[in-house]
Amino acid sequence: MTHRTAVRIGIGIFILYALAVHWPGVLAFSGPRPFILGLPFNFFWVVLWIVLGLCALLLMEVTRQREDG
Amino acid sequence: MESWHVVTAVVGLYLVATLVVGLVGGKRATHGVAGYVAADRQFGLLAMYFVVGGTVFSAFAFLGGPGWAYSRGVAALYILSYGVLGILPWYFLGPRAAQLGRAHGYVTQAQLVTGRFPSRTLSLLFAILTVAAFVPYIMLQMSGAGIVFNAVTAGHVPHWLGAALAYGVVVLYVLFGGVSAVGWTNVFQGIVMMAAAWILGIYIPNLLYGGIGPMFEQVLAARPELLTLPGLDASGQPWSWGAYSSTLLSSAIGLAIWPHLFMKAFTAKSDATIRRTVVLFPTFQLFLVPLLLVGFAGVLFHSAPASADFILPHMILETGMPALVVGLFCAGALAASMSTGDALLHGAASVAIEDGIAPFVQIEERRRRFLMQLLVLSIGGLAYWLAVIQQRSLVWLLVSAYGIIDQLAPPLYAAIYWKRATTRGVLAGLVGGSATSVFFFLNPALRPWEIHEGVLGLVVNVTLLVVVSRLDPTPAPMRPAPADSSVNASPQPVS
Repeated sequence: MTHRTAVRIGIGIFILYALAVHWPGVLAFSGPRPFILGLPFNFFWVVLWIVLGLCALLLMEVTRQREDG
Repeated sequence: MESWHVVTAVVGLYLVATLVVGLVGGKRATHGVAGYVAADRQFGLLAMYFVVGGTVFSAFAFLGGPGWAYSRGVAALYILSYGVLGILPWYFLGPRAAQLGRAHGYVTQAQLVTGRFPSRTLSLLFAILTVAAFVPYIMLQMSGAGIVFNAVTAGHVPHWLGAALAYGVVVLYVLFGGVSAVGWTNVFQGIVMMAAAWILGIYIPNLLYGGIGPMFEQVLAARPELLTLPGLDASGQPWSWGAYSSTLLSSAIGLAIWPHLFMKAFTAKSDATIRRTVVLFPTFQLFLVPLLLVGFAGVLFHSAPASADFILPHMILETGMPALVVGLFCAGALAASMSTGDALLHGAASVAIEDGIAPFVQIEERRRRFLMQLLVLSIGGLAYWLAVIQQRSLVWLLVSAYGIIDQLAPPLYAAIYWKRATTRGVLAGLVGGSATSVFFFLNPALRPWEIHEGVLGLVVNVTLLVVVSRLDPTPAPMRPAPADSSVNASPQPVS
């Protein structure tokens, strides 16, 4: 994958991230059930997006480093 | 030996270690302004990572974060969300600002903005807004240090003395080491505060409830309103979606713009360092998770603290934990307070001189550094006097600070990315946006859908910037960085 594509995907993920944690997107994920890994669902949802954000940033950085040599 | 003796000894050791790290680290920089403000642009990845993390996570993480979870429930989740969302722009903005900084010798935000939009008024406005936003923020950090000392020593160390001890150490290493000392102490402080957060966050829910899942089951059964978004407001009523979402947005936009963080771009060794710091930033966000867990653990605790912000120290003392654990918490919270406070003090003094005074009065290089140190002392003294002697209520000041910092975003983005922007447009936007933000802060009842005043200010700011720039026939020319500057990462003297 080229760095350019990775940046597009990364920004795409971050746009989804913004929609997923802001009103009105977050309305669908605002309740406490079901519990996942011991966390209420809304808590898990927010942590999940931190991890997805981390993955998106890693993807952008890894492809950049490969292209820079 | 009583347990508070052990706690005080642990904290004393921590303070001495910080001072040593700061003074030794500070010796590595040269004596000019570039050395004092931008550390000769020498920070590598390890230092940058903890500098950024330690700067962003303040006493608020150890006191306010758990306090929010305890009193307002999942409303606190906005704190987790805005950090990662807000850092993304820095992946692009940070290296670009650093390139311009190296090419033109910028060490502050206003220099970057006025490099494109030449206006001394603009520079002065940046200086005033920055210092106005920083003083209450420094006060909060000092107060936090005092509270921690006072609580864990069972009142044996008074509030004023705790704050004075912690900030005496900070002022010493900022004075003598500049940003280099700030960087190396933050590496040390960052490690201490992350260790403290994880140990406490796993230990306390296990001790009280036998695990994180069982804890949330019990909280949900007793207080279901705490676990449904958007949580509660400060008075315990359900919070509105408008307020939750716009607070998140305002904080996310402000995060990368806070001058003490933004100026770190000018201290980085290379653009790659800045990008890798951004990539690793979400790991710092995850470190807030255990602190929020501690706050939720407090919900069904048998006794209540004097104020929600004291929930963590309160539980640590009431559960009769080993003195070493209490000492660790204390050192972690102090580390969080001091690693933000030092960057703020240093940033406020640098900005006041470089942007508020230097454009109007000619100052020699050597006197400039001396003046900066004088300002570190006087701003520190003023904040201490307001926070500890006057005991002013801080919350309203701090919240208005966030609204103001957001207004610096459009000028910065325009300076780097928008070719058609003009000096008049930027000035109009900044003045209009700041005025709007302050107005709605003072008249919260008038805010539509309870939207955060920072976001309302941004709407006015961006509109004025675009409209006035379009009407203005003379766009300010872009100042491109030399093409080779992204490769050339070596420290350069500032002219």
